[in-house]
Amino acid sequence: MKKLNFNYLILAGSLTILALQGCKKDKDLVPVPQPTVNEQENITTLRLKFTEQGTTNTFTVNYADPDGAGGNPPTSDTIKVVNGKMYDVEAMFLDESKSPAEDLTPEILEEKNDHIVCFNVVSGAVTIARTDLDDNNYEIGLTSTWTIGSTTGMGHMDITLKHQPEVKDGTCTPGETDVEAHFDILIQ
Amino acid sequence: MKRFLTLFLMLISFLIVAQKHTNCSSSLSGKVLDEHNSEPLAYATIYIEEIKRGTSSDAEGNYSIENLCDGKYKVIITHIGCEPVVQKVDIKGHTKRNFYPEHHTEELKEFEVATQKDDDLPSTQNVSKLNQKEITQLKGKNLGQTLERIPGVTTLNTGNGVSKPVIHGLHSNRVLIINNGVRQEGQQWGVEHAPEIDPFTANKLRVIKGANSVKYGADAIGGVILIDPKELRDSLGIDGEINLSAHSNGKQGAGSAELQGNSKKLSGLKWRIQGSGKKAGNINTPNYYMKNTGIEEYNFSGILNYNKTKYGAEIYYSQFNTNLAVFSGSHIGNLTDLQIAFNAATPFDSSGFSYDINRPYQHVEHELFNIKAFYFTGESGKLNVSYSRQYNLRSEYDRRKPYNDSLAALGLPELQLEITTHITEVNWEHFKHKKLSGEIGASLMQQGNTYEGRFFIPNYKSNTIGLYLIEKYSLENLIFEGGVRFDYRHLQSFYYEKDVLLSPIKQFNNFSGSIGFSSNFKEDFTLKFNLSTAWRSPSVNELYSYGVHHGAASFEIGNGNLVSENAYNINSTLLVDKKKIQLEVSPYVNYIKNFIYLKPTLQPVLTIRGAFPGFEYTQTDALLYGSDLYLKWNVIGKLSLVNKTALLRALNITTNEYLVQMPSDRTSFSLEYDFNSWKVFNDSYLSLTLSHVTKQIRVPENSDYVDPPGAYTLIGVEAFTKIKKVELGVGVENLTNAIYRNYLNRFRYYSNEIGRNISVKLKIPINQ
Repeated sequence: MKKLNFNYLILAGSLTILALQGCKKDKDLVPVPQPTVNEQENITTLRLKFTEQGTTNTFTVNYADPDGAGGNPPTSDTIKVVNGKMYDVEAMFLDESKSPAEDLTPEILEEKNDHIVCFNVVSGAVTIARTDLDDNNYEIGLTSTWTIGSTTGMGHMDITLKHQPEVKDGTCTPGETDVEAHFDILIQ
Repeated sequence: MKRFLTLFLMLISFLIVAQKHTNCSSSLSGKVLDEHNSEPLAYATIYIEEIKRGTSSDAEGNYSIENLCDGKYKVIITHIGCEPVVQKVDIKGHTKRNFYPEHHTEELKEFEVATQKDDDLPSTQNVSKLNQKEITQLKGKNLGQTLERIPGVTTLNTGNGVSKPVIHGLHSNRVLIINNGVRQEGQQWGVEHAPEIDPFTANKLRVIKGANSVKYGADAIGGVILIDPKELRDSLGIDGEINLSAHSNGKQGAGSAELQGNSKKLSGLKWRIQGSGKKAGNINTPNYYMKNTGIEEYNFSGILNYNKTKYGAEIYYSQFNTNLAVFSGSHIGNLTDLQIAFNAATPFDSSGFSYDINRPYQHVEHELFNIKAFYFTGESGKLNVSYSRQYNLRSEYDRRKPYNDSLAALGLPELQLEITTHITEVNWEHFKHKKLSGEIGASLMQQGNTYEGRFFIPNYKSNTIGLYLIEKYSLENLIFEGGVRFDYRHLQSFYYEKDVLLSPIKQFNNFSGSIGFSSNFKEDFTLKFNLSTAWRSPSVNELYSYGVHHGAASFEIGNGNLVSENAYNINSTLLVDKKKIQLEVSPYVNYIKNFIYLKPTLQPVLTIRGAFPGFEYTQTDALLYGSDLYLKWNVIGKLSLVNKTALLRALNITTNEYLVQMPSDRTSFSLEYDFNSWKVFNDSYLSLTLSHVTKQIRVPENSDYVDPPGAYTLIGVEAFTKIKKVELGVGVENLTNAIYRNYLNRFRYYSNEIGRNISVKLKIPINQ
């Protein structure tokens, strides 16, 4: 009978250990479960840097939503260009919710085979050609040349950054949209 | 590793306990109960063929045969009006065995309606359950898909991997799941969060359709799903069971193994350990594979039970773990992407077959520890006490890993939620005293939730206290049942708004009640009628959520001013149980005051990712009504025809519109041929099922991006047989490989439904 009880002692003991050990670590019921603010990554800004060809004249425009999704809507600068000129344009993607702001463009360039920047001119005499290529000879769009026509006036355009892992085919259709920016263009 | 070591240690100690010995002072005792309603059968004859000895049961159905030698015997049980039951019984020591002679052996009820059998359930409400053959046939399916067999129960899906049960159009927070007596608490508010329960442990599946808050607590506006493990072994010794299943679509394999025993050395000690696993790859629609739709799952559980006549206790532990790939074509950036995805004939993200689980995916763990005890308080009643702890972890990984390499290297989920729940319950059942029986109880639930990563719902802690009383007055052919409950909930949330920590407190309290009758007014006819109220406090996501819902391309905004929902439910059931016809009709009306739903905002929410349609949690008054029908017609001989139909109308009475995302009308016809016994094959059947789901035309205007998909008809075939005790099931779903989309699948925008799926299921008992 003694031996028997010992067996049950092992049994009960091992079960208790199992129960206690099995219980996973967690924050359980703390008095004030204060939220931990983890580092998060948000693209908040699309910055376009324009360089007029044959000159050193440069300017930048931003499409920015520094407080993230919700809250205040994004703000947009007007792109002011001169008719008949050509510009080299560099696209930059920034996280300005951090201080100092983090430039994510090099990381996008690193994953160039999965990304494309798309330019959709809704109205206005602007022709855009991407000037950079990825390893599969598809365009990326981080750099581009803008040719401005002769008609002056106000136009509108959309610029999107698409993430296309394993589905990039040179078009803007597949994948998910990481950035969608809207700009007014004033051709002077 | 440590955990495995302790598990191993536990197994060894079980084996030491279960040593063998023989003697001739053994006995066989137990009860003889009616197979259909578990009523004790008096004066049944129990006869042991080998030694030509027998006895008969007393008025309570009890019997006992003493002074037997250990060994295997053939026992024959006979009772007037029943087919004799012949069973092999392994007698070792004082063996207890209950026998269940059947009154109508020619009827193999595919779908059984619980009447008197489940006395832990409300007797005046509609309760449906799945029988053992169906449970074997559905092995390898997830819980939602398993319950879909019951008329009135549908599923809200996210692809093929996530299925949430929907009862009479209500789901998520409005349906309670009680797993082994414990209220399942995870992140059940999310439509893409499936119940974290291993279907292999579910041996008994019952659904209470309609509001039932009195016994199980607030929130059960739609209904209650009760999941229970198999009864522990009733005779001394050890046995086991292996379940295996294979599905052709997704090349899915699943299996479970269990070992259970009833100790000889320590009378009254029973135990079981069980483990299961599942692995599936990409799902194949009739015309393409869906990329990244694999699943893996690994679960285990253990029970230790010690029962004496006057008292007893049980410890239960279970763990559920899953990695669930989310179809990559469904993670889209904004509304433009969604429109492109919808217009594509084939998703851009189609692929070949693979078992790989890549981003986006979910990792979910659920742990349950439960200890319960009972004590008979004299002849008058029984006291039950229980304590449980649940821990739920949900990690969601987005399609895109962070651009920043050092952040990406951490491999952290973009959204992680951890929730811990402690529930303590006490209840006292009083047995029938002058036709009155009932119970009184109290429960305390404490819960804490924390998040990491992206904000979607805040941290919170909540305390809920409930008190209830249920009484039942039983006459010969008539039962009255009524109950009342009071709940109080205290909820404090913690979140930052513009760098300021807010910690608002919300308090809710309410009464709920239920009253009804069940009348066996004519032989073979039963009528049940029930009026009940239930309430639900707004959940944390409804109050405070704020963010983009990935895959749904929507921006959800909580509303801190929401008040509790109150439901008023009328349901009735007519049961006809004739030799030729079995019928169950259950019409219902559910009026929900302050029904919480997502209302589209007028302006879309503009973000740097583009425009997202905004949805805000709003309240209205809703009316849901409909009827479920089950009809079995024993056409001729062994051939029967079964019809299951579910109709539902769901209205927003304030705006005079329909409610969004409600199941459309559906019906199914099954032709079943029962072979009964032929040579070594027993209980065999072959069935052909035609199911039709209508197009949901009752939707509010301008609430969805695209029209609901069209109607569809599917054909399924099933076969089942039992060779000795080994059960074998074979099935084909979507036999014609039909291309269709399901309104209740959130992936209807992106992809077709699963194509033809052939499955084989095997249940192998060992030493049973």
